[in-house]
Amino acid sequence: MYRSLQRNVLRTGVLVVFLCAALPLSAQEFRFVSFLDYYGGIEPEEGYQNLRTRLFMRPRFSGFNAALNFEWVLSAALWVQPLLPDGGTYEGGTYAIDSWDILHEAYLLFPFKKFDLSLGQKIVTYGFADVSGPLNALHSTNRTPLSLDDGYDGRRPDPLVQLRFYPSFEDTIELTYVPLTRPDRERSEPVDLPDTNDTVVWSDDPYLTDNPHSLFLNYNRYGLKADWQLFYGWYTEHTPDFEVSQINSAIATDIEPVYHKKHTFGAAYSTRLGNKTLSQDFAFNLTNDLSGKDIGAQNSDLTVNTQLLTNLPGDILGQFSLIYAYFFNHNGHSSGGDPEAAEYLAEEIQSFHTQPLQHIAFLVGHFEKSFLRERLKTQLNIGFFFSPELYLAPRLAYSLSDYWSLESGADITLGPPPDVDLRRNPWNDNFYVRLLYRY
Amino acid sequence: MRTFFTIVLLLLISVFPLTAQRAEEIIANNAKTLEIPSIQGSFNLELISRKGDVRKIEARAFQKHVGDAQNNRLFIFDFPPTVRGTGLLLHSYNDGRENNMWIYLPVVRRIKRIALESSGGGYFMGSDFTYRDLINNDYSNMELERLPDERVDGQDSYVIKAWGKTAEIRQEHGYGHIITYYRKDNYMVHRRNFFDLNGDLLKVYKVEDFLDLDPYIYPTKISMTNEQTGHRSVLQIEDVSTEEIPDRYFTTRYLQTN
Repeated sequence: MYRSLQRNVLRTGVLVVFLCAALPLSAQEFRFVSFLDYYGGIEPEEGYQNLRTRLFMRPRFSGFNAALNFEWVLSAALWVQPLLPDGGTYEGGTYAIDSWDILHEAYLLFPFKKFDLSLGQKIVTYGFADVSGPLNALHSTNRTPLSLDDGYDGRRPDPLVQLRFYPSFEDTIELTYVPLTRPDRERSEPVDLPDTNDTVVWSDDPYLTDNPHSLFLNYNRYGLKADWQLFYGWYTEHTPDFEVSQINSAIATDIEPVYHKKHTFGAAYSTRLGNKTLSQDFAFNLTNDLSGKDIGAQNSDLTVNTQLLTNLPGDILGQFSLIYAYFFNHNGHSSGGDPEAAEYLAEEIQSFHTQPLQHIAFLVGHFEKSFLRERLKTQLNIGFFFSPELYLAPRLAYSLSDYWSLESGADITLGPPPDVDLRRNPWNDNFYVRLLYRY
Repeated sequence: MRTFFTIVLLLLISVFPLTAQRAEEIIANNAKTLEIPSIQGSFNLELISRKGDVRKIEARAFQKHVGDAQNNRLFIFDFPPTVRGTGLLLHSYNDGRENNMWIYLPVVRRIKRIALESSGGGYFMGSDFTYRDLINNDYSNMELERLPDERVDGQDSYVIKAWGKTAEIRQEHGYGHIITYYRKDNYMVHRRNFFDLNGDLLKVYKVEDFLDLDPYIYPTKISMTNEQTGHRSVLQIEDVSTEEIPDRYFTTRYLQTN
């Protein structure tokens, strides 16, 4: 722990020096977000647990060099978890942020008359859906958040070269090349699969150097009646498949993640319907296992996200998202010589890939109402999975001043926690409080 | 009998001069004064509670007329930090077409098409102004009635009452009816009283200062007071410039890069 702390202090110091060195670039704008939060576990079956305390900082410098006509952005993410939870270890997280994750967005943007060129590490968003957007494929994701809507530590920017061409004021054609993608951040500890005597061992590679080069092409039109997007991505998938060398519960094996290429063909639109806004994102994901024979691989799928934003009576802002996905050749794998082991492994891996059935559908409702002239904001998120296991996520945010705010919330799933071993978030129901400073 | 008709005619002439303008003409004359080709400035909005607590919102505001029917507006928010970098782009029309609004949310790097102005409760950033108050009023779905002229706030004024043609439209607007006072000397709206769906006075809009940019008029200080809660919002536009604003400002490209 002490060496880890020392290493991280050193890395942080290097970054701070780097940021200070960047200041003479005459930062025209400085933004800063910092918070201290605490998560407590409230799963009835497990009793109260201290899950996490976190001190988080994100400084962001930016400016525009008029002489050379470029914009620059430099930001960092820093966090430590200063208090140990019950048991003395962090089951799914490290003491401090990984050094590879400290540098957040850092890029140069050269604006020209008809196009923009971006070089560096940047966050790029595709599609119109706010929840489970099937076109939002470029970046790796933190798969172990305690809150599903943790916007501070959710996505990591990738190094890229991006050309945005503007043939007209309404149209944009965007080509993005990512030389090296990053794996999703999964649980750091190995996961035992007791029924097959196997162990899933995660990779801690910061970049997927074995499978470089990803390309994304996007056409965007913001029109009078509707907004449109057409999307194609050929990229290294951030979510791992698994190299399952044998299916036999009598033999203990390590199962390692492997990252394959994937094609995504997509389209999306957004339009007004009276005082509502309707958007739909369509994606056809073609994985390297269209036949469905590889038990460790993701299946190809067709996913549609339909989102309706509306104002409900009582000045409540409501957003409803219906996500439907169809998985081709689901359960098409061979059972081998040990059908029981195969069934267990398939269930674990399909659940990990969010492909538990050939058809899945779920509905997410987001309701938002402000009080005290927007000083107090309340939200309720409800996930309905066409089963009794409702997901409820109430949120409260109160502005103490223009700079300070207090936030609180809970993530509660009705019913017992899932019993899959390879599940991503083993902490179950929780609540949090957060004191946040923004500049 | 003939004498009777003559007297009635004389009375009518004395009450309604032959040159009396119709409500639509007054509104059209007012609209002409607002058709400033390009204008930009610093947008400072103060939210003042009944107790006197003040919160501030600062933005850069740009506005440009395109053709006869289209008005483009862009707001880039600078303060408070919770909204810094957020952009709001509005393309509004006074020919019955639906307005288009896009918001850029820097936290999620996403441009989102929204329709918040249709909501009676769609108040702008917690202020007393609704999104609808801030964009052009489209009178095509409203009934108009010219009321007798009045002297209000020291100004000789034309007075027009307007209300949504259907209950649904009134519900959408959030108002039962509005009464607008136009200055007789320059057609500027200097006061507007908003009445709720029960007919009670809800809000009062007042222009407290303006720039005379002959032939245009640009209100630079506007207050909106909620008479039912005592809350007040004061909008001031400073550093005003009428230099030509490039069309590219009112595009989603500009929205997300500034």
